[in-house]
Amino acid sequence: MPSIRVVNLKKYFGKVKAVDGISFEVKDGEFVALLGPSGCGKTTTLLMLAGIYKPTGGEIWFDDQLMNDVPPKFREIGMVFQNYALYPHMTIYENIAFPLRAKKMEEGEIKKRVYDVAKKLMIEKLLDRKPGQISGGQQQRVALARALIKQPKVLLFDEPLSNLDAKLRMMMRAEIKKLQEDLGITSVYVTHDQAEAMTMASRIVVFNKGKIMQYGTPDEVYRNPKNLFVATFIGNPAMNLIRNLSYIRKDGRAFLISKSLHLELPEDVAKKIEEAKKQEGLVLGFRPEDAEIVHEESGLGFWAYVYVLEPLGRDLIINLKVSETDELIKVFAESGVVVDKDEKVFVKLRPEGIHVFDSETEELIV
Amino acid sequence: MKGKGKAWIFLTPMVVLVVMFFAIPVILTIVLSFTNMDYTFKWNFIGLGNFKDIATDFVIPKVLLNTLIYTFTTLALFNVGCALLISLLTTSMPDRWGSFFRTLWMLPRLTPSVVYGILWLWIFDPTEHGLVNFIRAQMGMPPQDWLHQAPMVIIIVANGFIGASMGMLIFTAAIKAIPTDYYRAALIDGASWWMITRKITLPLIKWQLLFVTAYQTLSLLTSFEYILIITNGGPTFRTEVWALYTYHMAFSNYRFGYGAALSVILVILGTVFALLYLKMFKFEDLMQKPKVEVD
Amino acid sequence: MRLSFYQRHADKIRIFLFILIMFAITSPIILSYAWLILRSFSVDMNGFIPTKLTIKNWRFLWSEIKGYPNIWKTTFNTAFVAVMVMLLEMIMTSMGGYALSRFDFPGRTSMMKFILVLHAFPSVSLMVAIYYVLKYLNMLDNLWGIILLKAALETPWATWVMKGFYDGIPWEMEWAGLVDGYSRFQVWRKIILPLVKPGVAVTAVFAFLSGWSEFIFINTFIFSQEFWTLSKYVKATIGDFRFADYGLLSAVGVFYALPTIILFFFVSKYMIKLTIGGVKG
Repeated sequence: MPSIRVVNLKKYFGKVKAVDGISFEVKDGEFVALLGPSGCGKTTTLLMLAGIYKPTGGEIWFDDQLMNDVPPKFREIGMVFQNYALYPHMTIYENIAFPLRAKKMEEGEIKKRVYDVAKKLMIEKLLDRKPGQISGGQQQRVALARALIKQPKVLLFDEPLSNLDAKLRMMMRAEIKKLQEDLGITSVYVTHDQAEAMTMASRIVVFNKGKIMQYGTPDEVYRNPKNLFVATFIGNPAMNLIRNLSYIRKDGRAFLISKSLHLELPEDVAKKIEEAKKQEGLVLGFRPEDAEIVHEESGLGFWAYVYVLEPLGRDLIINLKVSETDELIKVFAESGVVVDKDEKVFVKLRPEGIHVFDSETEELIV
Repeated sequence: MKGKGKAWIFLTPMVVLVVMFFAIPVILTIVLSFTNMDYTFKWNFIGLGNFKDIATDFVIPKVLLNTLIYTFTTLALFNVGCALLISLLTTSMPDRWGSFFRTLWMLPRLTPSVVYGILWLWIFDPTEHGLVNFIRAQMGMPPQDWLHQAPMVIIIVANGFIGASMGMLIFTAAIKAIPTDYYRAALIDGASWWMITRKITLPLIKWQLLFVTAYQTLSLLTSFEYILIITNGGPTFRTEVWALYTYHMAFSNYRFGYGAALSVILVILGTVFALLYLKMFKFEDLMQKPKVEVD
Repeated sequence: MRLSFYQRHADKIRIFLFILIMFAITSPIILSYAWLILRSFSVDMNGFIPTKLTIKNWRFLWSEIKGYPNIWKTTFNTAFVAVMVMLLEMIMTSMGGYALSRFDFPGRTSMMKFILVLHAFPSVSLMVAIYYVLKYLNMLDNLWGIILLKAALETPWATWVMKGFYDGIPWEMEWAGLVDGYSRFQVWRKIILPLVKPGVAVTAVFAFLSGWSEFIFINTFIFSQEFWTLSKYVKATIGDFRFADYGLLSAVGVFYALPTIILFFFVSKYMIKLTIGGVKG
């Protein structure tokens, strides 16, 4: 299986820069997700990998071969589409056999291969039906079968699960991951669902506005977001942000302050902010699970009041506000914590969970 | 909503006009077909006399044959064949080029018929001033009198260049409505243009193919305007089709009764086709929301 | 990857080939229209190259040609027919389409079926009877006869098209208007009609073009030169020895076709963009 290397890839549609100079690498047999909001260029990138779109600039390499103007049919790829793209007038059998017919394979071999792949995906009973007569989940399997039958070296997925209901989606998620691991086919998976990307991929490319925001393992993009976009896009609920903070040093101690907030910083964090030479327009970020609610001031943290409670069964999310005008802060409550609405509480932060961003460049400082 | 009275306020202007110039002539045509009315406009009922005459009219077999040749050759070569070819080719090239060609193919339909006639008279002009003979002259061949050599070819081609545009519009719209992912999937699966056309595009526009075939059969059966202008049926009945023969009988020979009888047969023929495609394609469903006006 | 030049560029080669084929099959259209325009400004042509340019072919615009009516009078007649047919059809189809789409009255279904049945009667088959009706109404050799006739024959079908446009307007719009206290007629005039403007525009353009280009009815039901329209004028010039060199003929042809070709550039966009909603798959 080849590795994929994308270098400074660009795709412009007239004046619109759909993909604007991106570079990343997919290792042999790796499963990489392209994650981003709709219209961020992730599907365009996938279609360039497939050879449907020709890049405006940059390079696409499969191993050591430049693929830029190699037509799709020579790329040895399989692709699963969002709407499955099953041909409505053909039976399931004909749909799955289509790639082999394009290769002018002999009928006996086609039949054998179709039955093999159908068995693997548990759709052998559907072969005589038309796509309109089977369920969404079954169509999904047929689309997978059609992508796999020609034994591709690269698999491309374009939001394949977004048309399924939540339960089926969870199931197919696990199945596709298992299938990919078993076959070891280099895979690129486009999705706007961060949970899908986090659970399935070994690495995630986070996209926004045609650019790569961050490329790393699920743990990296979650723990160490490189910028505000990644911080807010990944994680559910998203990372808490407190904006418009200023950095000051008083009596040798370092603080982040605003009209309503006063947070003393640990020395290592303070040093990094001083290195970055930023004093104004700082943004504090921390994940809901990196804070806890206590009733008295203790160490690193700040005071806020309880806004509304969201019980989720197993967990409880406490929504807080520092002041009337600030954004909501969500914190997962520790079991046994009892708070009332409008109660003043202390939000205690874990020192390693603190992130500070520059609001101008949106980049991470700490 | 109810509104019995008001509905008729909206409909009256249309109904009056349509009854006067459309519904009454329909009935009148049928009545006239049983008379031998001529330029004296006397009502003289002769029963089935006209129809008996038609059965023995020595020109009729020639006219019928011409009509069938003209209708089905034009249909196959242009109204469906050429229309399909244009649609398939222009949807497989950058759309700027595609719409350029489709726009050009719309031109003949919107040109006044007499002016369009001039173009074909020039193309097949018997002297070297004409396009075909000019090209022949460049290759050292003598000019031919095409209007005498191949009048049927001329009227088929001339009508075909107009007739292709309706099919072209319908096929193009249908092809463009096929989800792009089908094509992308097929390209990735390694299918050639020809295989995609054969296995995906054509099966998916099958319905439109049938519709255009049926509808255009009817249109061609009753069209005679361009033939009247270009050859006027000649030379010696070689391009005389049923509709034109009807026209000649009524307005050149002033045999109004006979012309009406010929019309009735044409209408019966047309109705048979109409009923056929009404049944075949559930025409009433189809006509719920027509948004294009071409024929 | 080792690919031949053809394999690598199969796409571009195919597109290039298709464009060539399209040029080939479109060439009669391109060549003949180019010729028509060039010829109208030349004394003579050697193939496609005008040997000498002239405006003498256009003399019919400022001097009378013996045996022919005044060109401007003829042009006026043509425009008169086209505009009147257009107005009549606009009024009748925008009212009729609304009634068929929005009113539930006895006879609605049978009326719609009747329209379909009428459509099976091509106008050519009715010419004899129409001749009789026009004669009876004393409207032979009269432009109003042609106008009413054309409008009557085209309205049923155009009403179907308009009904389609009305069908696309949500009922809520109409209910809102009625709730606000407008009468049914006011709702139509003030709310619904502006919403189907594209439909009215399409109907109008087609009615105008069809009126402007009308030939058969003029040729059959008009006798006096003072009522000629351009189609009759051009038809008369075909075969006339004074027009035999194509010069005058092509100039008259260009003059006649010009308005349709100008309109055409608006219409073709419309026609190609309009999805054929009824023709489902």
